[in-house]
Amino acid sequence: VCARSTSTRRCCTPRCAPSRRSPTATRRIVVWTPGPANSAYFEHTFLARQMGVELVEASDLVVRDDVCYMRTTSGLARVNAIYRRLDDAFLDPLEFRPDSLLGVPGLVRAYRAGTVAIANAIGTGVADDKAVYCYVPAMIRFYLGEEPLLDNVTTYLLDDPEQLEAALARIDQLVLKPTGESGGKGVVIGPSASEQRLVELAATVRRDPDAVDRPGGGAALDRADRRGRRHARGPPRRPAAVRDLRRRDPDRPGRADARRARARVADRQLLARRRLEGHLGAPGRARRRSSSRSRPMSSSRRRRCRDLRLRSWTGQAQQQQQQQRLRPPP
Amino acid sequence: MLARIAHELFWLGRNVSRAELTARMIDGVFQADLQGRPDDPAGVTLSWDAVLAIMGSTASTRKRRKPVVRPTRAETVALLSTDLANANSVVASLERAREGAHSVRDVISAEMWEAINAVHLGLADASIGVSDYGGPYSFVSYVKSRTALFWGVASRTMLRDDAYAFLDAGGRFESADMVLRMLRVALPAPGERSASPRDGQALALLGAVGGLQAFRRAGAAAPTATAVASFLLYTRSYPDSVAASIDAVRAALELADANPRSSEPVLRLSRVAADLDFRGRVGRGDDGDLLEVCEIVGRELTLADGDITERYFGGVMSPTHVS
Repeated sequence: VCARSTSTRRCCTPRCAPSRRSPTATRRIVVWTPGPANSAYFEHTFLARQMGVELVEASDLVVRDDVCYMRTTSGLARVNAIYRRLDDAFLDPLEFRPDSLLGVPGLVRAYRAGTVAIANAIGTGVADDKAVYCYVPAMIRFYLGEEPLLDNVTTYLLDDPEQLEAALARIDQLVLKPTGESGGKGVVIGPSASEQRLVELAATVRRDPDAVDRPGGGAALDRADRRGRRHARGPPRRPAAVRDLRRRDPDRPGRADARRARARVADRQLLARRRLEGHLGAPGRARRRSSSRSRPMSSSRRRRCRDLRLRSWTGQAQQQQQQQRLRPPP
Repeated sequence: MLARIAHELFWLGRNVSRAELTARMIDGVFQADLQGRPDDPAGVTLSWDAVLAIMGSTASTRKRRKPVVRPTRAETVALLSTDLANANSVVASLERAREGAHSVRDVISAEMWEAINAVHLGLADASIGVSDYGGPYSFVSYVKSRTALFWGVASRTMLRDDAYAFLDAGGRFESADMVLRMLRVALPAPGERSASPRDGQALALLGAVGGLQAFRRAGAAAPTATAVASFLLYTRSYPDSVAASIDAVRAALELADANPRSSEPVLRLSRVAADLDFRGRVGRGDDGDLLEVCEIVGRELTLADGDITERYFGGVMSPTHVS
């Protein structure tokens, strides 16, 4: 874990956007947490402490003239890089969810202007989806030209009719998981589930493959062996890491294991880049004037934004709790 | 240091101090109520109306249909001790302090968190509450001991950095504010005769803040309202006096501020401290002067509170330094 904090800091440092007034000044990195009500708050605290940087919340950050600052007792202090630990949808109420109390108004504008770096970049959350896991070997072959050193656990995507039938044929040997959930929510372990539960689950999946115990999609992972026992395998690999700019060339061959390769591939936003470039523009390339061309806000939106600027920390904490229960809308 | 963290620490200190001094005041007034007689002008008396005036609370905050002309002892004690709906009550202050401590758990020491969290758990115990039979004694004793434990642990386990400075500043600021409120109620009005029941009130308040022995040792003056008020206002060697508290807040902010010479709250508090020092040396004055001093210092403290919020807690809207 300590090595992770060191590598995270090392990866964030070259991403730090330079200061216009003093390019040689010390770059400031912060870890951005949703707040104490978040279930992983202890992890955020530990990470910030190990990295030796400040742990900030939304109310600590403010954007002025397309530059991101944090409020300190000595005034506003420039922030160069943000290691964020909250979802895309909550980042900026002006761009994404307007009811977000966890976000910083204008942050995406500063990101477009290239004055602040955000890690992981917006859109990389898609790589954390369980459905992407199935395609990781193909990504490694396509982008790195290598064979994965570790094979994937056999995984069925239930929205594919053929794979759905194959999975249902041996549902008592499989582990079924909602693709977008985390923390074990909605997981059904076939070998230990009752017959009735499996029948109900099969009916649910057949009726709507995208709704395994919750709206949003499902996948069946082969976590059980042929004799019906659960494997003593490690936790599912999450291809979420800080984008590593030291290995910029995706075609360069390297001796990386499959896990690192997956992380690199995922973090290069291969899936999200096209979507983002059309919607937001590539980070750091857009000119600052682009903010003036943004669409005008409606009066109701402006009112909500004003309320967000004057938000209370109580409201922020409530939304952290809300975030635990509610999925953001697609 | 992050403005949010500093703000939480400052108000953590204020809330703990407010809870402690409110409990002390309830205790002092309760003891005075037991000992004194209403027909004895020189006795140690203090009406429960005065206590509510000090705390800025009224019995009507409980939304009674009929206005209560003279609240009873039990009503006032319950309102100021265990009424969560009253923001000035001891329990409400301690709950706010716990919430603040929870949000800065990685800044304060684990023992400090345990101390403040134990109060929260302990107050849920019915045996510590205020009872009609035993009065507020067990409640007040518990709160005084736990808050003393909190400050003791804080002084032994926290690094002397910005975090401790803001915590200490908050505690001492609230102490100055509360003592000042007490004095403004206990001091006689300018037209009032000097040998009034206010003497007893002042003495009761002196006992409430635990300064009876210190007052006796500091001078041989009779415990009149004027003498007690002068002692609680000017005596720097007594830590709960207004002058000592303001000086401590100034010192703490000087430590936390990178540039204290240009800090408006530090400069304002320095002026107030110097003014109190001057007035204390020139002459203790009569009751009218003391009342005026209390009002002036009270106004300055209100302005200093705004200055502190503006300078340290995110009120700054333009960058003061960019690195």
